[in-house]
Amino acid sequence: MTSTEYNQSVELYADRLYRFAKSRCNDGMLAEDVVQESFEKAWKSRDSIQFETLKSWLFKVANNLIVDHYRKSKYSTDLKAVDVDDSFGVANEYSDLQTVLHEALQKLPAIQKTLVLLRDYEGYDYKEIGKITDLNESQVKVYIFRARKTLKSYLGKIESII
Amino acid sequence: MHINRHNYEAFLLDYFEGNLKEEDKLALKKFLAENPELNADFDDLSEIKLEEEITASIDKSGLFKASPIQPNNIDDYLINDLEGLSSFNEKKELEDFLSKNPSHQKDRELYALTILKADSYLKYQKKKALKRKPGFAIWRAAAAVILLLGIGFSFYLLFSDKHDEQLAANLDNTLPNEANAAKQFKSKESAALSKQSIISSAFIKRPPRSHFHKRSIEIETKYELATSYPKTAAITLDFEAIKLRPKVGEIQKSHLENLEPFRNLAASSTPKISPLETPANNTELNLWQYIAQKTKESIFRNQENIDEKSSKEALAFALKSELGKQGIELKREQEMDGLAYHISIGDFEFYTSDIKSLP
Repeated sequence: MTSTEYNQSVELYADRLYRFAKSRCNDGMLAEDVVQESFEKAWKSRDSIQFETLKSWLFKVANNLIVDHYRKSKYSTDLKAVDVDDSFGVANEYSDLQTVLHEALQKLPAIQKTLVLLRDYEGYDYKEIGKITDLNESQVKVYIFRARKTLKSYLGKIESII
Repeated sequence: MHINRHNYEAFLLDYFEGNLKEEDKLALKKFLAENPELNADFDDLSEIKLEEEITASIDKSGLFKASPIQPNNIDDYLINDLEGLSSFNEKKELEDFLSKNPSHQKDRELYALTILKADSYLKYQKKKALKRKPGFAIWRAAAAVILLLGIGFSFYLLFSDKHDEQLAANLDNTLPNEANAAKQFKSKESAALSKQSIISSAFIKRPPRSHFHKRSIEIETKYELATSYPKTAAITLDFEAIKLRPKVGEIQKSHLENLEPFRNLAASSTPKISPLETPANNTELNLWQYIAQKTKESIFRNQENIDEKSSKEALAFALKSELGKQGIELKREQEMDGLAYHISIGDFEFYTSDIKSLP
C-alpha cells in the first residue's frame, strides 16, 4: 500500500471506523483512540497490506483493540441481565427510532453488538464478518439472529409502553 | 406405405388415436372395402374406450404437508427474509403464512425496524493528523536525530550549570557573609529554574507512550483545574453500599438507605447549578439529592427484574439515565491504576477516583 493509498483510506474509512467504534463502545474518546491506533497500525504494516483488503483489516484491528481494552480494564458492557421492560432508560422519552435502537444496541452482548454493526453499518456478508471477528459463518448467523430477536423485542416493548 | 394384412392393425390403431394422415385414412378405407372380413376388427377397436371412474376416491389427508412455517419458528423465517437469506419458495411460503396469519405482520414490521443506520453526520475530526506525507519516515528520522542532539545539549547545559554554580560558590567564599548568602540563594534558584526548564523542554518533546496514557494526563489536568475552583468538591460514588436481595421477597427499604451516590458532597459545598427538571414537590432537594432520589425510585420500581448479580449494572444504568436527564454526563475513563469517572456539567469537570465497581 502506498502513502497515497493510505491517505485515500483515511478519507474513505476513518469516518466509518469511528462510527463503528463509537457505537460499539458507546464512548467517543475511546472511539477516537481506536481509530488513531488502527490507522497507526495500518501505516506500520503498509508493506504487507493490500489497499483492496484494507477496509476489512482496519475493522478487524479496531475490533481487537476494543476487545483488548475492555479485557484490560475488566470492564463488561454486557447489560443483558437488565430487563428492558423498565423505566431505567430514557427510552420512552425518545422520539427518534434510531436513537431508541442504538439504546437497545448497548444492551446486547459485546459480540452480538459487533456483528450487527458490521452487518448494518457496513453491509458485510456473514463470511466477511466471520473473517473480521474470527468466527465461522454459522456462529455469525446465530449471533445476528439472537441480536435481531432482542432488538425486536426491545422495540416491541417500547412501542407497547408508548 | 402399402397397407396389407400384416400391418393393417397398426393403421387401425393410428386411425382411432387420430394420428393418421388423410391419404392414409383413404388408403385404410379402401383396404377395408377390399377386405370386408376385417371390418369386424374395425368395429371392435371403435368400441374400446375407458371411461373415468369419477366416483372413486382415496383418503388424501396423509398426503398433505404442513407449511414449514409455524408460529413457533416464524421469527427464524422473518429474520431470514430480512437478512436476504430466503429462497424463492421460502419467500412464497412466508407470504402465504402471513396472509393467513396477519397478526404476525406486525412482527415483520418490527424486524424491519431493527436495521441500524450509521449517523452520517458523525465524522472523525482528526483525519488530517492521520494522514502521512510521502517520505515522512525520513523526516521522522531527521526529527529523532535533532531530538537526540537537543537532549544531549540539554545535559551539557545542565552539567555546565552545575559547574558554573560550583565555581560561583568557590568564588563567593571570599565575599562577606550576608552578601554571600544572598548570592548563594540567587544562584540556587537560578540553577533550579534552569534545570526545570531544561527537563521540561526535553520531556515535552518526548512523544506519549500511548494514546490511552496521553488521555490520562489530560484528565489529571482537568482534575487540577476542577479542584482549584472553590465550589467544586471530590465526589465519591459508593456503589458497593447497595445490597439487593434476590428476586424472591421484598427488598427492604433499609437496604437502599445506604445508596447515597453523593454522600461525600455536603449540601453546603454543592455547586450552585439549577436543576433543569426539578418537580415542585422536590424543590427543597439539591440537584444531587434529587438525582439520588430518582435513582432510588427507579431501582424500587424495577426491583422484580433485578437480582444481586445484576444490581450494580442496574444501578449504574439507572444513575446514568437520571444524570442524563439533567444534562450531566458520566464518563468512564481509563486511568493508569484502574478505572475512574468524571462527571461533566456544563463547563465544569468533576473527577471521581473511588469507583471500582461501576461498569
